[in-house]
Amino acid sequence: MRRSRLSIAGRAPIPLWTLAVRALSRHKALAAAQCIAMALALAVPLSLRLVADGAAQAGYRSLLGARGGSSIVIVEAAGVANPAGFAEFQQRTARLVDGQVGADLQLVTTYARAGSFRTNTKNGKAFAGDADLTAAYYPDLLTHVALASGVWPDGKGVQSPIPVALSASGAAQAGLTIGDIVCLGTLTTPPDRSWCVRLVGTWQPVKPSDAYWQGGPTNTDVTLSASDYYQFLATANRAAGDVRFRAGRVYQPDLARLSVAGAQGLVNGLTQLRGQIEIQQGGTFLTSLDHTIQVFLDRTRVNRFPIELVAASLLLVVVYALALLSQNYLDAKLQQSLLWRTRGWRRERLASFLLLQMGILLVPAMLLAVALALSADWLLVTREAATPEALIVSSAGLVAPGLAVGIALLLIVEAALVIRFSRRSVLEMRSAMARPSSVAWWRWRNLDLALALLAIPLLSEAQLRSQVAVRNASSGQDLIGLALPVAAMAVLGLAAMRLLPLFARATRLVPKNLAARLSGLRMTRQPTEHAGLALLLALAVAIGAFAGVYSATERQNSVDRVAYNVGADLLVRYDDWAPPDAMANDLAKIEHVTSSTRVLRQKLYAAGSSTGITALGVDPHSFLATVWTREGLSTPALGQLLTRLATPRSDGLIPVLMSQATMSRLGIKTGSDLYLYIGSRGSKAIVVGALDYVPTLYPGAEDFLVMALDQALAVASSNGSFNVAPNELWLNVSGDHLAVMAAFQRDPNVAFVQDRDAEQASALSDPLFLELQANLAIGFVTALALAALAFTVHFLMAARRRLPEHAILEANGLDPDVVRTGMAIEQVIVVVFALAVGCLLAVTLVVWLLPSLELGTGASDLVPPTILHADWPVLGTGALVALGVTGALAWAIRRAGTAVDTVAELRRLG
Amino acid sequence: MTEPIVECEGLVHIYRTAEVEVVALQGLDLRVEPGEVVAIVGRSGSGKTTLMNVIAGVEEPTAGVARVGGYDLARMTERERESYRQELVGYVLQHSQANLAGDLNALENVLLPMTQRSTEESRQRAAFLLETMRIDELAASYPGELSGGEAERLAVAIAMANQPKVLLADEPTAELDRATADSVLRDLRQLLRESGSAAVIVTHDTSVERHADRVIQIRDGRTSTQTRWLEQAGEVVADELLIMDRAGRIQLPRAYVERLGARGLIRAHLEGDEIRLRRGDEEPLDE
Repeated sequence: MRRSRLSIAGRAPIPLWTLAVRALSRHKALAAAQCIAMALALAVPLSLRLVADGAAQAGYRSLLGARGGSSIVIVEAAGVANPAGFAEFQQRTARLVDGQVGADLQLVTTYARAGSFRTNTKNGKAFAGDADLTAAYYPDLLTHVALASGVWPDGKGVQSPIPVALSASGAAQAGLTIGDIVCLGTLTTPPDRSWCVRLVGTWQPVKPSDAYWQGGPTNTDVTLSASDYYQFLATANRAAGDVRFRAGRVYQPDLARLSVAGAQGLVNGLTQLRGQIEIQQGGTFLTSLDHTIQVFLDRTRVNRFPIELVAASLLLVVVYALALLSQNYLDAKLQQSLLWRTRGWRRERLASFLLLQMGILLVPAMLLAVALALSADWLLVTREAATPEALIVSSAGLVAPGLAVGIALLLIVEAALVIRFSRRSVLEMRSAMARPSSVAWWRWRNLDLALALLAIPLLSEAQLRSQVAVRNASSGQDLIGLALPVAAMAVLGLAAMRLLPLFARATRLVPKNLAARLSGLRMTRQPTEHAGLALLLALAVAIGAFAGVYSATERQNSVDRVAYNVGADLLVRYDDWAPPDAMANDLAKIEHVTSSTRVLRQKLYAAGSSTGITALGVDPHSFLATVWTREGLSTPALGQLLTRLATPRSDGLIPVLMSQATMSRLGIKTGSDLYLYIGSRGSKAIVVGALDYVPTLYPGAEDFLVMALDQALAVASSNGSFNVAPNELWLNVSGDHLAVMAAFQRDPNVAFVQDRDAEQASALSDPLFLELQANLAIGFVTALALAALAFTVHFLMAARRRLPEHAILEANGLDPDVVRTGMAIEQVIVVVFALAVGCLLAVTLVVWLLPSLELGTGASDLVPPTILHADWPVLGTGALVALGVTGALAWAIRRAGTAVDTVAELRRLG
Repeated sequence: MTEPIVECEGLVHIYRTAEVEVVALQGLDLRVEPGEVVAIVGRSGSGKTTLMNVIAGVEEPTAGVARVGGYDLARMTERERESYRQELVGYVLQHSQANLAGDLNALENVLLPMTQRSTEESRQRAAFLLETMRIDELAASYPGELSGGEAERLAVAIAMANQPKVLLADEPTAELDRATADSVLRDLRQLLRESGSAAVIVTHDTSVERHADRVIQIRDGRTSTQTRWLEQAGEVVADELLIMDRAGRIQLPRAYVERLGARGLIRAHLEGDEIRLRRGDEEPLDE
């Protein structure tokens, strides 16, 4: 007869909590290792999140901060001619702006303006000022300026001439002094109907760098008091019928409050505001802020792929390392768990007991993770932002949600492992203790081959999805694209596990060495024992090497692309009206010039095509000596091609080098001749070679050709132009670039100067670039740390598991050193295997994916094409550090883990 | 006749290793009365440990009947098995240290399984067990600090914590010298008497057999003989009997079989209330 169901009610006399704490405190080293693993597992996603946010915020703020006046938003309404209308406009606009964009914009100033007006007379005499003047009333002017001379104008709307003030610099530019009476008018105002104002004061800004001056009065604004402004306006309107007058409000982005998260909302708000003001109210809405932000967001979205790909790979390694270390932790608890289960502990109770331990370890792990993540964020942000404290505070707000996501993921991993561990029956636990499995699912016949083959379509698809064109077309985050290379790395790593026993067989090469034979036999027959660790180490090596190569490649290509964009150390562009000798005069004054070349850049047209072709006229010899290039950029080499330009031709044709894309568009090829036009005059040229990469010119983005400078000048002059001269100076200098830059910038004939060093520094501090570098650094350091931790824990556990076996061997007369050396040989095999497989994985990823991973989509981000670059000293140092750390750990494990107390172990064995 | 606390009839257990199936128990019969101490002996591989695992609720019988305290072990769910292991049986595993939680001291080790009692009751029971097993002075010691005998005593105390109806002990004296083993077994016996628990002890140690009410030998997965200790003329003598199962099968002692030189078929003759066995190739006896 069967009795009623048994039940375990009641309460344990020793709570689980106490048991868990005791279990942790009695095995501190194991608990510490698990805690560090959990901390790293939490810190990595949190760091990536904070770094991404920090980089985006810094980039966003520096973008808007750097744009200065072009970030301001101006709302104007025409026809505001009295104080009541002014007040009503200000209130209505304030409500509208608040309603659409809230606190993202802050008010800079408000104004009422009229004009502009010509000066007809000064002090009764005819006078034509250099610039037209505007009458302006700024209610808050007095709080931003100080009186430079005279008095503040306040005629209370009844004085005539109307008293006005002007900025001190504006007065000087206009040639006005205190007391001057100027009579003004519009273009259509007859001189006898002019109205007059008297300059009674001049002012100067209290703080010229104040944001107020992005929207405040300019040098051509005559400023008036409120009543005088309306008196001025009434007078002007009486005298002329075409006076333009309006009221306005000026806003600027509140950099302290703006966040990338709200950027799209701000763009949408500005768009709606534009519609309400311009269409519904007939006002004017002036800003390029929405366009600027949208461009930033689009660029960020498209270019996040490489960054997220690195992050996803890193997360794979982190999750796998966490799982491996946690499994080690659980395996260490197997004997005790078996005892509890034998005594009738339910699976749920055992799972709760183990999860409680994980939960307790989670508390210090969280603190450590937050500290690590904030440190990484700080390191990035202090390099990028002028006010890192604000960004850190802003990022700190992400810690809680980021940590919550990290904890949720961590708990999922831990819960899955714990449930898998504790759901086993007593018998299964016993057999797990007695004989570790030598069979794993990944050792099924031919599975390795299948996995390796599976990696090919995964990588191909990943390569396709990583290309710029595909990324441009994608509207959202491409999670599949991110997962593919990660999955490919995982399956390739698994497939490579088959090679581990082969590596172990290498021990046979060591003649008559018992330790080597023992290790080789063990690893051949028990390949699963170290397989998990070997896979982790291989993935860590792969991600470390990939990170190293990617970082060096990205840096090198960024630097190259800037060099290509500038063309030499300095590129000086002269105004078209610069005198022909301006360039020579400048060169004579500049010191430390190591090489220079004069270039003529102009637009030409080919017969049958309406699209302009940029023609670069160069002196072949000096150009080659000055221009930046790199090996293999042109085939044949640039020097050989330029020589063709210098070779005189008997047929009178002008030799030109042309880009393949331009030739394709024109339907010509090397050896073809064509007419090149400037204006109505044409010259016959012949294409003597294809040249795709000429610094400053972008194949595909524009049509271009290169010709000899003298012939380019001749073509330009053929249109009847006089004084045609080279308009660019490319030069390389030694010493202080800034001094040379400053010298050129002082020359009024110079339109702009580009400094390669400055632009390279700017490119290397691009937020996306920095975020990528930060992620790569985090990847490298984390991979190393996790690998070291897993290596230590795994081999300590292995050594502990083997203590009884070692005791028996020692009791049978085996030299203890044989046992220790055997373990060391296994460590060497695992490390060598991981290095080999990891490097192979890294090379696969690098060759397959890196060339298509670009941090940008514009021509200047893609030309010249990516070349792979490995920073061998850094990689070598990384490998040496990793090997050094491994060696030190192996030594520590040898000391701590393999010291056998033979008698005690034999007693334990009974 | 009282209801047995352990009752196995035609118990079969087959387990599977990587390559082969092993029939560890081949129709084993066993009865253990409440309060009785039964020693199980047999050669290695005879099925002793499998029998213990089945009775302990660790392994499920493949066929046959296995009842403990009225519970049919073949029909229990995993959850019921867990409760059964906690409430009905106490198990002393072969290596004494394997019974002990290294993180807990001796007192805590004994307290841990007591989930049904109040804290005070648990403490009193733990104190009683430690005292009975003579390790009360070691209550605060951790397992790593105990000698083999002390660890074995603690293992027994832990297994008896919930006053199980059956105590199962696998080679409890294997790690002990004769004197210590005797001492431990005496204390165990006393504890069993006070608790009214039965015990099934697997052993190779002849000194253990002396402390048992019966010694059952297992051969090839079946109970083969039973030995009782009888006092005759002031001396304790062993009374060894063959065990016949319900189908009438017996296992002859190996020495008898060798002496008979029998293989395959044998002849059986009923002579009065005796049965005579002869080799099959011998001539039949005249009736």
